Amino acid sequence: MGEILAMIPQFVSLRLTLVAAVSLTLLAGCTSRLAQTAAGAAIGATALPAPQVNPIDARVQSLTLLDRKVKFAVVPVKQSGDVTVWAAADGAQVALRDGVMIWSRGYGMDLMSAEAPPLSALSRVSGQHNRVYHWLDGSDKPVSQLFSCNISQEPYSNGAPGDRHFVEACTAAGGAKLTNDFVINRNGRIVESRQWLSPMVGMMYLEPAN
Amino acid sequence: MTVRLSFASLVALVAFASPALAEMRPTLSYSGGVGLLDMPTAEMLPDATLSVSSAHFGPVTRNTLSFQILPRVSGSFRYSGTRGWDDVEPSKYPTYYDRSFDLRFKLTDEGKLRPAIVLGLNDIIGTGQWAGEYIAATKTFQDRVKVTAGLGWGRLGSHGAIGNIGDRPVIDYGNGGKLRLGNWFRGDVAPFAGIEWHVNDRLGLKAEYSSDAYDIESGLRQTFDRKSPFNFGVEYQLNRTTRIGASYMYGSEFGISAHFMLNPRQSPTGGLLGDPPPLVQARPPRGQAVDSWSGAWVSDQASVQALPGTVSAALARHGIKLESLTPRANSVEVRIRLARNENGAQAIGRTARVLTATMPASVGQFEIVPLINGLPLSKTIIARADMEALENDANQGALIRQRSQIVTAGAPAADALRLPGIYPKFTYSFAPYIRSSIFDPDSPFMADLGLRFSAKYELAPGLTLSGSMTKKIVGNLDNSTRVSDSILPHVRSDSNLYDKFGDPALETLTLSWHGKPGQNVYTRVTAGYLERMFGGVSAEVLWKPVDSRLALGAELNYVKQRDFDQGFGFTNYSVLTGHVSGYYTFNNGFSAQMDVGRYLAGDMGATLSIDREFANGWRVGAFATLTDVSFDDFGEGSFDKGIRISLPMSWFAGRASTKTQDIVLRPLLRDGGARLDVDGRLYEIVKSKDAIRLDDQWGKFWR
Repeated sequence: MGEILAMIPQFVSLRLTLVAAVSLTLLAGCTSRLAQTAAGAAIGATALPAPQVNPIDARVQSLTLLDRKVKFAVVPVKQSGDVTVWAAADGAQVALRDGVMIWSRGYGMDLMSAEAPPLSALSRVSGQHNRVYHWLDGSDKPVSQLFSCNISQEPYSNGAPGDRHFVEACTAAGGAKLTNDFVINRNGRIVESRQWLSPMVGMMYLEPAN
Repeated sequence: MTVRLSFASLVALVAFASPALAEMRPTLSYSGGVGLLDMPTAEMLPDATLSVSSAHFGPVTRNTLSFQILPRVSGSFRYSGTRGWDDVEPSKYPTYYDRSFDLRFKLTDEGKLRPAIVLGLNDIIGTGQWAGEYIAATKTFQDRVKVTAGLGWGRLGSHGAIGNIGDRPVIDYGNGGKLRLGNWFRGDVAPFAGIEWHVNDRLGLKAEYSSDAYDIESGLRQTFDRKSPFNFGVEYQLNRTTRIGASYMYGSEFGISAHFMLNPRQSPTGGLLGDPPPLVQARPPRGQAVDSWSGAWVSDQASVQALPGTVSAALARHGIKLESLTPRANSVEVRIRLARNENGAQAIGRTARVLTATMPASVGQFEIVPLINGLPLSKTIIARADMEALENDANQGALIRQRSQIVTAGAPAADALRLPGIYPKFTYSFAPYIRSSIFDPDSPFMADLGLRFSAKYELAPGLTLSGSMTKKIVGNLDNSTRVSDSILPHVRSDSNLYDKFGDPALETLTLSWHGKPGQNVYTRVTAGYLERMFGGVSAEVLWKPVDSRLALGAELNYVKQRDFDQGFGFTNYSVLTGHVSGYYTFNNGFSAQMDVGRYLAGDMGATLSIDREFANGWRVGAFATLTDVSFDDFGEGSFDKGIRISLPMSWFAGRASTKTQDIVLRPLLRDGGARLDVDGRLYEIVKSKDAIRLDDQWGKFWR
């Protein structure tokens, strides 16, 4: 787990210090996989609530809002090409394109949309791309931020055979930084991820629910 | 008026709103503006910051509301009290209460070497108790220390003067409310200075040399002993919004303060939790739904007649009420009923998504018309294919807006479908109310708490019978023994008699009709018991193209004054009152309104209102009325003026809500410049869903 601890995320955030502190706490309890490092130890393994929405198939993921220390199940409610919308029991939605977050609804300061890299750009030994996040500020006006991001592959030995760990380290013009993490299996699919949602919500952690 | 308790609840709301801390920030002084303890600094708060401040030392209490009107302009409204006013000098007031208003202008920003410089005018329009002008310069060092030096006139030039610029006329307190331009920057000028040290992000220390001699409070009336010009304070930032402080003032008195700051751009919750929008549902391929794509369903009456029920049920899950639906093979017009303070763009976006899931595949165009009181306020035309294509695109809000149109809306088609039973419709509600009176020198804070029963009977689109009754539960408004000294007809100044005798009261009982006879013309007629104090007939017409920043209107009312018991009876006073109005919305959220005409007391004049409105519904504004009533005849305050604030509850709570907290701060109601308070005026309704407001709020289309 040393490799995970080594990349303490730095977030673009009004709450930079707070978020970092919470993440550190969470990371400190980690044991094996990205999943457990991020959520399990600090939050505890609570029974997943039964979603009150209509899933389109039997998949279930566990979503953790690291900053808020809440963990809950999400199920797929819509598939549209490579985009899947996952909904929580209260209906809050997050849309993932091949596992990469592109919007959320109902999480507070939502990610309204994103110019996010395709999965192929994330699963490289190294690479560069731009990323744009779009939110609404407190007065409901659109705000956006452009990041320049670097991909690197980190050693990873905790997952299933063939799992690889990619780190997307991004910096904005003003110096704000954030880091997203993706664990990609041998079939090229994201199986776990830690992705940034917005300045007020912070990091979201997704893993398959067991 | 709902002032005092609104003020208290505002403080409670602010205290509740407390996310994480930020870095070094400007802090407030005892006078509620940016400053040290009793002296100002040359800083400004972030644009649009609203602050509430309560500070007390010795006998002096100051409660202040401030607003950063523009990045370089801020204003403060203050209600102060000085105890012991009659200790050594006779006065009818043991505590002297006073209202004052300040303005500050930033002249230069802080540079590497250059300090920030601010010019300030204190108490420009009250009785002048706190009147003073200043120029202050502030320089920040290492993001921890701020040093301020300045020159003051008036009060701020009353101790340690180093010079003199002409004579400063002695203030005639009189009725207050007048500008004293001739006094500004005149008379003795004295230096002041101070230093603020932010020990860390929460703890701050302040020390200052004050140029305010407190001549009247300490000298003439001896309410406290000013032994020294030096003040020392310590402050602590409790959370993002709240800062508290303690101080040792003028070598003899202890002080305490609490300051609350809010910014409409920084919601405490960041946004709404839950309440997810509907999802776009893509149409099946043509081959799989031939009938749906062909448009043949239009001739199947059963299919067509089922649509309003289906759409209505789907919209209802998102809190949207369907009024009517006009389906065609290729398009559908949907009319939805919204509240004035509901985000129209969000409701339209949700409606469009519901339509993707409910309309047959051949329907390629959605036309969505928001209605208030039956008035069609705009029509947004959206291509279904764009909804399907853009849902997951980056910046999809701007993209869908580029491809959509907002046009004027007319009457519904003759064959528009309505759910059976929409008209007539009866609704009612019970809700608590608070009515308060502040700024009465004899008893500055009085309030009633009671229950209001409201009922509405919608007879047809735009035609509504409505009424409300109130019953007081507890309160002391009837304790007021103030007898109006107004020499004008007592159209407002007997309000305490309405409080005293109107329990229970028939507040309103009206029949109103809203119409849209032309493409850009709206009309209203309201008859009955229009408000607490007047009944009669009110008619209004408004010209407002859907995408125009300019609107023009006219209103004519014939009203009689109601009996104090607020039953069905009237007094002998009647008046023909009315105005022509011009409205303009500027680019930056500011809007202006000018009303010219005859007021309730028969006086002729004009009212100017300026408001700043945000997309989330926050609104801060001010108004003033000048009529042919002289300042002396008007009485206390000299003319009618005030500040109004509207705060959306959803912003505080982070949950969907259309409730707002409305606060109007104005001096005692007098009779000059008084307008009829009739419900359902056209402009506020029409503006709330026009193209400009929809664009302003468009960010929430996909929310």
